[in-house]
Amino acid sequence: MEDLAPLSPYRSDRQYARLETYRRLGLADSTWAAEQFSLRVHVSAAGPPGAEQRAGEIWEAVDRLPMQVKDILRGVIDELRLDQDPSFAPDTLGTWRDGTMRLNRDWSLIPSLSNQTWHRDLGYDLLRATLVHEAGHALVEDPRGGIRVRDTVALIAASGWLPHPLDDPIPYGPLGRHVATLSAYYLDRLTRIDPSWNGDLSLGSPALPPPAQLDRDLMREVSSFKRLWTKDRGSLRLLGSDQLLRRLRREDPAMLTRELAERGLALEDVDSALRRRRGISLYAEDAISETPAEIFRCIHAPFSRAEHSRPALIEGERVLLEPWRSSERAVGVRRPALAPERPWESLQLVRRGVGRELGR
Amino acid sequence: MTEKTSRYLLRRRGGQEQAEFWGNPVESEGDPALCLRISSLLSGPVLELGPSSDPQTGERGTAVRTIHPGHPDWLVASLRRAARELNLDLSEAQLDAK
Repeated sequence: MEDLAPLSPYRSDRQYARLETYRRLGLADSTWAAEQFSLRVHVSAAGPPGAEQRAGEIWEAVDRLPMQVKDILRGVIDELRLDQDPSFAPDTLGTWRDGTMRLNRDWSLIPSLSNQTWHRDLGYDLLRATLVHEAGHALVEDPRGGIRVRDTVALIAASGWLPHPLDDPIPYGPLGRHVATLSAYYLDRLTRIDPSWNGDLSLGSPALPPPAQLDRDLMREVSSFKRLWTKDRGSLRLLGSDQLLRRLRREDPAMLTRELAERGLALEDVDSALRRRRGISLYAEDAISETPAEIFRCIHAPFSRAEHSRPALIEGERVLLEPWRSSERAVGVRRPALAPERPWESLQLVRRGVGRELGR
Repeated sequence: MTEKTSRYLLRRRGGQEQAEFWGNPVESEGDPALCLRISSLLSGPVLELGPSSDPQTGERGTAVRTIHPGHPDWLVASLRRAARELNLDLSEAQLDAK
């Protein structure tokens, strides 16, 4: 019997020294990454030139990440790799799996980004969004921690995922008005499909089916790729709010009204449910397993629409941020370190007179 | 289903200038006049993030794609892009249909 996984905010008590501090001291960026984040760093030298410059841009983006994301890098990412474009699926900016974050170092080879007329800030926005999204996957799914299945389902319920009302009218009734009751209903149905979806286990627990199976068990339509990798054993058949709205608009109104009435629903019930909660982003509506990481991204690096997705953001604050903030409040806010936390080296720097520059 | 109409408001930060776009985010994407009006504000393609999967390894990640007029996600993505390029604030309000 596996112990129940605690919520893991991965909060570090260490002070954080900025990249600028290391650069001023003439220390390599990779030293900063290794010391501040306990990261092994691999930069592929093959392929187009400019790998080191690209690495520098990435470290600057990492340096500007929110402290919670930095703590995830410190706590659950073991290795950061800047790999060549051909090693990635087409158009991929970055990935995360099993403690390794891989970033595509050759974004100029991605067709959408090959035209250099795009806005100069867009490259940074995309990089930040990728880093935060993949860190969100690490927070949610890492086997060393992760969030509980029941909290994952709450994030999904808060993000507007609903069944077609003719498939399952229950979420359109009183039960669907509150995230708590809707997510309890979804979780109950999920465990009927597979009892191993234990709500109290962390999503990354090896005792659970893999995250891709979550899509298969919850979504109405999954990609052909996921159909190859997962089992077909029934599903809650959920749809993203925009997908569902488009589907309902295509149906004959008179017939839809009649069939809804047979299930005790009116069009207004369906309309209210669709307005109540909306998808957090276009990315999140592609797959349920992407929704928690997208909520995390929209909180920390808003890039997509989040204007009418307040329930998802509120639930995201509760599930993804509050445990980390509680730790932060308990220990106290960290101040930036004035020097690398390396007693011996710091001593050498002070001897060489650099300490004066650091205010010692 | 009742109609949903959204009002998108692009507003210059700290200024009075603003531009409004009205439309249904689900149905307006293919409206040529609206696409032309918004496209004229943009200097490059409209990009959006989405999932990627490696069929050989199962590795999942974040991919970027270009969204063209007529795509279901084009309207919202292009307005955000316009706001970013022009340093404007974008707000959206969902309103009842008239």
